[in-house]
Amino acid sequence: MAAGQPPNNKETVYNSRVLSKWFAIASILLLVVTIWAAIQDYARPWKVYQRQTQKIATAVNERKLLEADKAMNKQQLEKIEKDIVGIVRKQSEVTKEIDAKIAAIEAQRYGVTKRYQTEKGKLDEAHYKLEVAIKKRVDNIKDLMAQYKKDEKEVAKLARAEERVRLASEKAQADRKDILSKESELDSQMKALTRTRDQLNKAIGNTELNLVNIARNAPLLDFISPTVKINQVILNGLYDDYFFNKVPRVDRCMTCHVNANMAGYEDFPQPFATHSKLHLIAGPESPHPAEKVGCTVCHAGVPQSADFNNAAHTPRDPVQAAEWEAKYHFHYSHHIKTAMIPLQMTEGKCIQCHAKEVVLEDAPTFNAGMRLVERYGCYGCHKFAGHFEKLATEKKSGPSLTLVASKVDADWLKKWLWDPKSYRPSTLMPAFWQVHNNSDEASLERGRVEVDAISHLIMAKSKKYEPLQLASKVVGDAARGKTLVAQVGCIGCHAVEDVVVTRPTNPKEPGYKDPRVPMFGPELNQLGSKVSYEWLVSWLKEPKHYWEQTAMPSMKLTDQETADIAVYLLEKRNPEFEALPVPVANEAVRDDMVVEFLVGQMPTRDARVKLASMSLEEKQSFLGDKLISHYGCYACHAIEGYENAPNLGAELTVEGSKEVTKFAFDNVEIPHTSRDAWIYTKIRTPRIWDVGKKRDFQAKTRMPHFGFTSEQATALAAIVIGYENKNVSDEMTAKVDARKEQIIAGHRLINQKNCIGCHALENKEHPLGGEILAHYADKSEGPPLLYTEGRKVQADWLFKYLKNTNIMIRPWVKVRMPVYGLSDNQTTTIVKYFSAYDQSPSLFASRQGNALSDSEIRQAEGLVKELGCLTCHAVLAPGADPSGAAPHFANIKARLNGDWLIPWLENPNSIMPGTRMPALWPNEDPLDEKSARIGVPGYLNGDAKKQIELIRDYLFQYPGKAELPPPEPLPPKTVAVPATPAAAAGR
Amino acid sequence: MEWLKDVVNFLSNPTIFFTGAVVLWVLIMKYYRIWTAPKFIKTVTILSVIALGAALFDPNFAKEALKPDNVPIWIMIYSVGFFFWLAMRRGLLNDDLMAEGLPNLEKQESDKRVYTWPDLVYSELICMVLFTAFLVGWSVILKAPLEDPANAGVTPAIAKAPWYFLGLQEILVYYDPWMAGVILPGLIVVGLIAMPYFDMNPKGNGYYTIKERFWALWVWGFGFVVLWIALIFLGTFMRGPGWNFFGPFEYWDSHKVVALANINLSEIVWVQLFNIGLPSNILVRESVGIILTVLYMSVIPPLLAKTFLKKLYEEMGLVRYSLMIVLVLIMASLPIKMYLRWSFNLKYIVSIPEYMFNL
Repeated sequence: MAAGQPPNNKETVYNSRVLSKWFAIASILLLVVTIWAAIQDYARPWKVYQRQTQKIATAVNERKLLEADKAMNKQQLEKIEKDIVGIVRKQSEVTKEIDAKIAAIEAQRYGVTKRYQTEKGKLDEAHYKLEVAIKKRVDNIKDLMAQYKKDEKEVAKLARAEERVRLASEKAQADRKDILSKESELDSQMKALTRTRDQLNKAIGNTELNLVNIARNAPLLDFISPTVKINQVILNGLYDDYFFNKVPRVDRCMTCHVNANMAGYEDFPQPFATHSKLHLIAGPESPHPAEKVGCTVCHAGVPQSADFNNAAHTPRDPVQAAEWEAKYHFHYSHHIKTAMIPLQMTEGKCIQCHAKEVVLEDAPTFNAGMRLVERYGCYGCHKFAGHFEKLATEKKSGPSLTLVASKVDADWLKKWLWDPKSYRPSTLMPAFWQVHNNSDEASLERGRVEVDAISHLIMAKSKKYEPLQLASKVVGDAARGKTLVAQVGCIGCHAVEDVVVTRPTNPKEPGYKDPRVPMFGPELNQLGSKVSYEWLVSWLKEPKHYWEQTAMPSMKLTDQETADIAVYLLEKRNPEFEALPVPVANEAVRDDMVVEFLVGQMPTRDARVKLASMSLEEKQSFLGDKLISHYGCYACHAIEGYENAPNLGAELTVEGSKEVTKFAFDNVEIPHTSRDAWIYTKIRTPRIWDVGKKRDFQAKTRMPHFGFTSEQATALAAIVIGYENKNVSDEMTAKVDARKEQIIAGHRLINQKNCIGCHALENKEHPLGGEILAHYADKSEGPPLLYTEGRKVQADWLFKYLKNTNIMIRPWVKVRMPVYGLSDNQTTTIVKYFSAYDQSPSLFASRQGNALSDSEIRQAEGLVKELGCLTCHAVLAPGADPSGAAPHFANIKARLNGDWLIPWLENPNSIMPGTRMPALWPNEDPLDEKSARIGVPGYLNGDAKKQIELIRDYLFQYPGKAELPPPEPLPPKTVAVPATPAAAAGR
Repeated sequence: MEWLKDVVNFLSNPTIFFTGAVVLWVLIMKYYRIWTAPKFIKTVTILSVIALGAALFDPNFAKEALKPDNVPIWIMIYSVGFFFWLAMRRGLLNDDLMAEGLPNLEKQESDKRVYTWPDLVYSELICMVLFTAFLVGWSVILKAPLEDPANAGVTPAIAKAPWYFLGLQEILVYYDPWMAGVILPGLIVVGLIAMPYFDMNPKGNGYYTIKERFWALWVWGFGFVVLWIALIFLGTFMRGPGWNFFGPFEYWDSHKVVALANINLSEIVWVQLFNIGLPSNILVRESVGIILTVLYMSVIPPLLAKTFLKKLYEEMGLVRYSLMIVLVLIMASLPIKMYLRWSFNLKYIVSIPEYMFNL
């Protein structure tokens, strides 16, 4: 008891009993919240998904196990097992003996080795002493030398003994192994037999709900070695940009989407489902395995997050958003700037690695988006990277206006500008007036002045044009014209209301056309309200006469045909358009606008003075110039004087990486954290941002309204989003080798010339184009399918043919291969494209037939007769009905490749589905493509293979001269006068 | 209801909000006998909770009020309120007791014992356990969000200090960053350290009282409640993107534009008053501001020492008084500057950007 101890009767502030009660309450509370925290951790959504996945995987694997069990060769297994037992019994006797022997040898070896090592040590010592003595120049080294020699001998003897024992031991071991190897061989046989079963059993063991797994995944214990764990891939080829450092990205998506890269879960809902394009994406065998490329490279989102909202899932549409809200409390996060890309736009991300490519197999949205950008000429105003950057230097998307005054009149032009779709509903020309931000009365008044000024200047700048005239005086007939339009191939590019085309919905069928991509040429249902007979005749006869760069080819029309088609097309008018009033400019508004623009150049007072001195035409031209520059008409149309005018649109080369905060959402009701929603809305309704805003003319959005459908805008937005800062390493981007380069060049040209309007290219699993084929019930009536074309025809023949298509190949086909007027370069590009795509071994190889002896030729002639080839393939007599004819044999030697002919003769339909050519050597088993073929009896012992080869060789020796396309005439000779003597010497 | 929201939005304007806070402070310190009554304070608390609950129906208000980040602010507001009330209530009761010559409440309790063990240590342990449980529960309910990696190249639309520094950030509106960011916070710390050395008055040690320490309480409370807590509240709920002011029911529009045409005192004097343009000599240009500042800091203290604070001056002596009055004047300069800004768009009293010196 220390001094100062208070008396016991003194009252205390706190009562220990009460404190204990509080302590009890507090402790229980802490226990409860701790359990609560553990439960929360155990119930984290990704853990729940993984447990569910494990259940699913167990069930799926158990089903597979049953199948595997059934499929296993039980008898063989039993036999092997029995053999193993027998061998093991026999072995045990033999091995016992050997083991005893080995033991004896080993014992002996130990002693020998020990002795050898001791003696060796002594020898080393003697060696050392000897060396020291020599170095010190000791005179008497004799003793030392003798000792060394003696030791050396001893060691050599022991070394030999040691070697003997070692070899004996090794031999005994080898004998033992030999005996045992039989068992192991049987063992591996058995393992091979039961591999699937064992693997499945192992997989089930990892996922099934057994005691071990329960313990491993139990709450609070699951930090040790859980089977429910974060699945992540570290992507060394993909970086996250942390502003001072680029760090490999870590994707954890597969923590919840566990089965994304595994086949067999296609029918399960998310997040358990297999990737929908496993063969192409995510699958281990695909070109984009998930372990290597991850998920966020295409889908974006927050890669390191394993929570639905934090991973920044983005719904496809409002319906899905509502569904997610109910299911996952979905909300757009204002924290996250790299939200996932909605599923329908994901394909745009292909651009990250396939930056140069124009067409990708099995990527319809990418392909449609790329074509839409090209067709609508987005690249005219906006700078893109890759393909479009190059395209912008090559062609403008709209027609040239340098001669337009000869084609349309001023009133038509004004009405057209005022509302292009009122003339042609399907036009690609966007609306600049009467859209979201300029439909109020004042803007309309201003718009009419603008239309008046622009059309005035365009007409004034237009040069004189003399249309071509038909050589003979012919009178056109509309009925004949109608037939011709449907027949010669106009409908490959143009829509005509009289020819109704029902297209298949399956992209793999020839005739399919992506509904998002508009027809290549303008619809031909209103021409009478636009152009004159003289102009149209000239255009049809030779489009390049009016416009050098046009994609419209010459259809090889006679004068009569030209007149027929012209008369037919001009009968089609648009009376509603004709009845529309011509927009009339208001004088006062025009004057105000002139002053408005002049004030930019001079003081207001001078501007007024200048205005008073200007004539009407001067005002119109002045305004026209300012407005063409303002709206950028020159981005799509060639207009004289604007050749070097600047790009007006925002650069889009890295638009997909643009900070969301840098998009002005203004009053538009879309999620303000969504880059894709903004871009989509911008494309769909470009001028919407000015609604509810007070902006003067210069500040208003000027991107015109294209009237895109939702699907079109989605595809375009996908492409725009696809262009982003490069975060992919060079090793991971798609390689563009020489072959790929040729294919890409081909795709670019094909898109520009619309070859795919008529021909289906590439391969029958993923045909590219062939849109016109929808018109033909019998596909063989249409333009030929060009699958395997690169291997089929000789490159130099194709070159000549493309340069000049005036040669008949398929007499029965009414649709015409037009003359495109391709340059040598372009022609080469196409020839190389086919050859590269079909991996033709060489452009210049002449792989034709073997020379035949006379007797072989006779046999071949007999075979041809027997097979009846000439019923179709004979040369057509002049005036005969071509409907049953086929390409004649004399031409084959100049046109086809011998290697290609073999598979063609075996099974023509597999190369060109729907061909009229029958399979003349049918399979023994009609259902099995690989079964042997039945030969024609009586020839070459009925060996089909030999017969086919014979026919092939024969065809290359078929009598008659091959027709070739007439060669192009050389350009007219000019007398070159060298500018300088140096230039002359340089030659 | 919309008109009510508009009224609240209007009243929350910094000028009115701050003036209101000052006036309220004066009333609180005057009529504490009324509002500290348990019935009164209970009614006010309940009404405030009901009003808050009703306000949550407004999406703009709810968005900020329910942000997980802002939970500490609500805890702060109600806990500061509670403890302030507790101090005032006990002070009032003590004053009454002492007026009757009775021992105050703390005195009554001080007869009892508090053992280190079990009483002190045990109750500390209980508090620790309870608080740990509270923190665990809080972190389970409100999970910390995972955001994008910070981007050094991008400033977020709302750049706010941590909540406990929002009062300082508000000062930044009125003062040069040097003053608001370095000098004033430094003086707050220095002042807090120095305070026990100025304060010689032994009254109020170990017990609550109002009467015996009225002015000390008044000045200290003004600095803490009005200039610190109220400004944190303002900064949290009424400063949005661009540090622009938004009423509690207003949408935080990041494109809000506010005219900011602030001018310096020198411009008011030379340009507006004399209409002769700014003198080129810096000292001449800023002479008015410098004179005013010097007057403020040198004339007011002796003046007060002779008049209002005569008694205090005598008690404290010259050195203590001078140091104390300088701190008080600097504290008072904040509301003064605020009002100058609101009434005259005054930017700086002395503005010498050439040497990064602005007052």
